Amino acid sequence: MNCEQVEELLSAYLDNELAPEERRRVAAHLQGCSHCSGILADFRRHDFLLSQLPRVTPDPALHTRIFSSPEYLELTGTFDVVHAEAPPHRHPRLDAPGRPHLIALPGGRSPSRGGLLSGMQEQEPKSQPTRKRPAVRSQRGGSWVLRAMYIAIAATILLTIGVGGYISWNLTHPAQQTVSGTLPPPASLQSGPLAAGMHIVFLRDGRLMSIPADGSTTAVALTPANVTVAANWAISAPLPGRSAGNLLAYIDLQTATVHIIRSDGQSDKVLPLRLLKAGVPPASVWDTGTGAAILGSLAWSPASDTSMLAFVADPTGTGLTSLYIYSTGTGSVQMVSLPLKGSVSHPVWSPDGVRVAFAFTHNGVTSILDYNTQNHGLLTITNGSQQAGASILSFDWSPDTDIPAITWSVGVSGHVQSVWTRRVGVSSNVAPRLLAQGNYTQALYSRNGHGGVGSWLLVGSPSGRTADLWRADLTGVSPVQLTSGKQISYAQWSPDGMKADYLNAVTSGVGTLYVVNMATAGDTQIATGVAGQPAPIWSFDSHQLAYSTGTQTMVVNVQAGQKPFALNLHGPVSIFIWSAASSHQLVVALGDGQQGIFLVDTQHNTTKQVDKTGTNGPMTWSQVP
Amino acid sequence: MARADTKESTWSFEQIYDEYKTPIYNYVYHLVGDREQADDLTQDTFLKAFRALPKMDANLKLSAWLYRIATNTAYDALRRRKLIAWLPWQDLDHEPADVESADPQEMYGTTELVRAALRRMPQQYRAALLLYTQEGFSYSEIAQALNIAESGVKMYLSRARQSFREHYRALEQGGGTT
Repeated sequence: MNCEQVEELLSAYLDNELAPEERRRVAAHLQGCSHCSGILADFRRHDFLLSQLPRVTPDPALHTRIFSSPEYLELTGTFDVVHAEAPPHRHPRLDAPGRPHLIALPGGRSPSRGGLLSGMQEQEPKSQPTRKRPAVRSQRGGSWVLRAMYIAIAATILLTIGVGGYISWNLTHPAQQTVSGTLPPPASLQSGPLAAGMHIVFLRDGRLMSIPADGSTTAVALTPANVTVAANWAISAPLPGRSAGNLLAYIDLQTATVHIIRSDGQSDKVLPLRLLKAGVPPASVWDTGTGAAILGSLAWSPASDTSMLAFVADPTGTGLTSLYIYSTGTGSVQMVSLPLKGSVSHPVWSPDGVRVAFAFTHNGVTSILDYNTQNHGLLTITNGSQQAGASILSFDWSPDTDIPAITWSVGVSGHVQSVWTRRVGVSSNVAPRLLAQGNYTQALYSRNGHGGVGSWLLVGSPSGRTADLWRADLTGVSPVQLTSGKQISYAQWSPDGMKADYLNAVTSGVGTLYVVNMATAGDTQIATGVAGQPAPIWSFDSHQLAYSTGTQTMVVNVQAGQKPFALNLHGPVSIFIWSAASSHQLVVALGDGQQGIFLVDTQHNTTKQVDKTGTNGPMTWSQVP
Repeated sequence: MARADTKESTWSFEQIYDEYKTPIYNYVYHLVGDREQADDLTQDTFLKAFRALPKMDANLKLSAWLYRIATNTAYDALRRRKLIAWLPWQDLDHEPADVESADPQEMYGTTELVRAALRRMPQQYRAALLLYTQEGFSYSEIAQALNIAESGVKMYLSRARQSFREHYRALEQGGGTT
């Protein structure tokens, strides 16, 4: 017998399943063959290891789930008794497609979609391109009969609160006159799905609120009263043909769980993974680095057959965060296994939704890794070697899905020293490429920059002596200087990547607003006395800018070269956001003066108040199908 | 109360569940590597069994039959699972940083290594190996549970051990490719 023949018989030899003669021949071979003896020893050891795998037991709730399931009740002839009371609870699917786009950033800052490694608490929900129809499985556990009772009780309570609140509101607050009339009526809270169409979504007092774009009702709460929504909630990418997404992911600060709720306020699901170890008070974690990493991590995938949500969690209480991906297709959460112990933060999906780039901190060094959701490959993009005392500040993907690349900025907060790019994939042995080096105060990336190849907008200069605008493209050519002799304190891309606006010579928070053509470097002064907070904001077609002077809200059509005009509103703006579906609708939240939220028709300069309280943002758009 | 007659006795569905819930759950969990999915698969397994039991022969060997249902249910689920699976990361393009210099025990505990190696195996071999080592099944019982000939079990277990060894060694050495 040679080794090859013996290897085939070693398993049966171990199990004593060979005929006596065969067994004798194998035993004889083993006496003189260390190779086959080694394999046999491995088999024995592995059998032992497998037998020692911890046995897992089902949750007691599974008993209830099975024996109160519609299938079981039907099987045992008790189904009809309760069938009319509530629908089956297993695997309900969202019959509504989700898709987002166009998130409103507070004041329009930071168009980069990469995860900013510093200041993560202020990170806004991520905007993603197209996606397809999702299906979310229900939260597990508990009988559907109980669930139906809970829903009925909750609906009754909410309806009572809603009606009571409305009566109370009318008693204490006589209807406020607005520019175009009275406030629209309050919607009936949680009593049914919201009407189809575009809705504004924002966070207020720990609850996600929604207002229809037509202003037909005031704000209604989307999320349940017993959860406290964290600031960094995220909306799914829009489906093709739609203007905004339909699924909202958020973290409940009280229970440390991720929820997903439809934009019509229905089907609030809890993902089957606690973000923190059971017994760890969530409030003790949120202010830590681990908490910040978790809270800033919600990231929806762009277009794919199945919507996926990436996030990080520390369910074992090690203080190290791992990457998890929830699939609306399977309804399950999967952990991405990493070969080293470390902490994951800031997942960022590639434009094709196949890959997730994320920051990974191991032994105090932060790297960027790439996880391929299709072949489960894990690649290192940066390993910290080129950082030399600095750290990665932000990163994002190139728009090219055929030859994917990741680009990132390096430095310390407020001092960007360099920006880099590196191809990902088959030719990934190509070294990281330096795109720009110098002393910059800002480095803002746009996938749409430089005709859609991806580009960085830099504020500062290679020497660090002036504060002008530079453009560094992913193509790797030398950075292009866009302005000269300016003292720019802040800049941002237009959504189409063709223009940028910036404030020059800012004093006391007010400066002169310019728009620069990114291709020709043509520089146009728009207005003086423009406030930096909230920052000017581009309309989604990149034609118009809205900005604040501190007391007035102004709109200018940059594309048509028109002069700015003041909106019929008075008071300091806290947030504004252009409509995702109409280039003539602006939503403005005022802090003082005419406090509240207003829908503005910029074509006719008319306003309609839809909320009395306002918000500190951020706002975004959802589209209820 | 819903009951089923088997060769052993007449049992209620709840008694069957109480008797087999842990071994079935443990088995499907190690097959799919995910507790939530194991919940679903255990539920599906028992509901399928309850539905079919009244029509089954009284000579039915309940244990092996339940494992067969569980196996087929898990296989179906694994087939459906297309995008994100409990599969290993594979460095198809280049080596991840620090893997070579890392201490494998730092990367994975032994239990995690075993689980990771299991997940890399072909599912039919994984099932055979689990039934043999975790559940203590004989070749005959494995044949019934997997609905294959007893002679096939020998081949399955041989392939399973070879496959597990290959993956486990690769993981021990720092996560090499499959």
